[in-house]
Amino acid sequence: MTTLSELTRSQLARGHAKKLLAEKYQAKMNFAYAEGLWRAGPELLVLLSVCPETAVLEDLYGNPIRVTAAELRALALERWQEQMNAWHAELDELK
Amino acid sequence: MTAGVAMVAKNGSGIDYLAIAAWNAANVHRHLGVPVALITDDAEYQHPAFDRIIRTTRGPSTRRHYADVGTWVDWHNGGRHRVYELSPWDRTLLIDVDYVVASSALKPLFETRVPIAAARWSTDITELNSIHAYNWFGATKTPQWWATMIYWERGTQAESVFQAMAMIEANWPHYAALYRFPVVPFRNDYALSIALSIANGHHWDTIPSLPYTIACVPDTATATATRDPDRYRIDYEYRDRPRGLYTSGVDIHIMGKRSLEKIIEDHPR
Repeated sequence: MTTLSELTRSQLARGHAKKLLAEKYQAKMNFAYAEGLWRAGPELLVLLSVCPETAVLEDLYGNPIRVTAAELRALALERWQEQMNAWHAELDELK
Repeated sequence: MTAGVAMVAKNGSGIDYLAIAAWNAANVHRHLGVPVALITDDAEYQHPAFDRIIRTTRGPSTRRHYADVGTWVDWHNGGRHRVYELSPWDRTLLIDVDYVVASSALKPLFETRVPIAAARWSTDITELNSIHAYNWFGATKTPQWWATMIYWERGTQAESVFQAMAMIEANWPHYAALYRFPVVPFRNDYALSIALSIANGHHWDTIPSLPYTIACVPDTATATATRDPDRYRIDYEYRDRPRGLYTSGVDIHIMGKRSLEKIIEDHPR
């Protein structure tokens, strides 16, 4: 029978591993476009969905950069899904 | 426009920084696909892992203690500001030799333009140390940017920061008194942070930061390689109990030099 302390230790280790994975994939969400640095994710994708054809957006360095919304959206979506899939697969291995 | 990685390595006190740099340069080639320049004071050192080797004179040194080495060692960390003039690249990513590149996460940087940016956040991968201990310095609790990872494009703004670093190093006791931190050892992180602050008019929130957290493996932990070249096992103790975790495809800053030397010996690139 698993004791409470054994359960807590294993959950602590699992939580730690899960956190490391999250940090790993957050770093992998970053990509370059129009010499700016962007983070693929729901925030950027939703913003791009309401932008006109060309727009000026703030990148991760805090610089305003003129972008073609459709182009940036395609790159962001590809990166986001690619990394989310990898994250999902790696998290599954932890179970 | 050229882009590449630069590393500074100066051997001393029995730690083979040059071997560590060469091993990590192979990681950079594999994951980032950019050339690597080594800046060293060794007049004769050659290694095929480096695309360029730039010779310099030895700068000031200090001493520091590594738990895994078990003794105080010479730490030739002075003169780091010269990397601006010595780097052969238009866009340079300067990383510490012990910042083990194990993924392509940093690759997008080379296609971006920013005058100069450094990593703002570091975390202890073992969670043994509070994050606050790492990310602020001095009694003034000044935010700390990490000289472990600096990216810049050759130009006036970057040059100003490195010139400020040179000034700070030359007047170190003054800045130690001003920001209220120990005058020994000299810390490039502190010099960089103060230089960035000066160059940005002391508006900390306008200083560009690299959006990467430096995952540190403290020198009280042991990192060992596995069969996967980018997977490492980290062993440490928490309240006298052994603990372990794995990192896979994560760039990590391995503070323990003996760990690194063993990894290189077991898994040469």
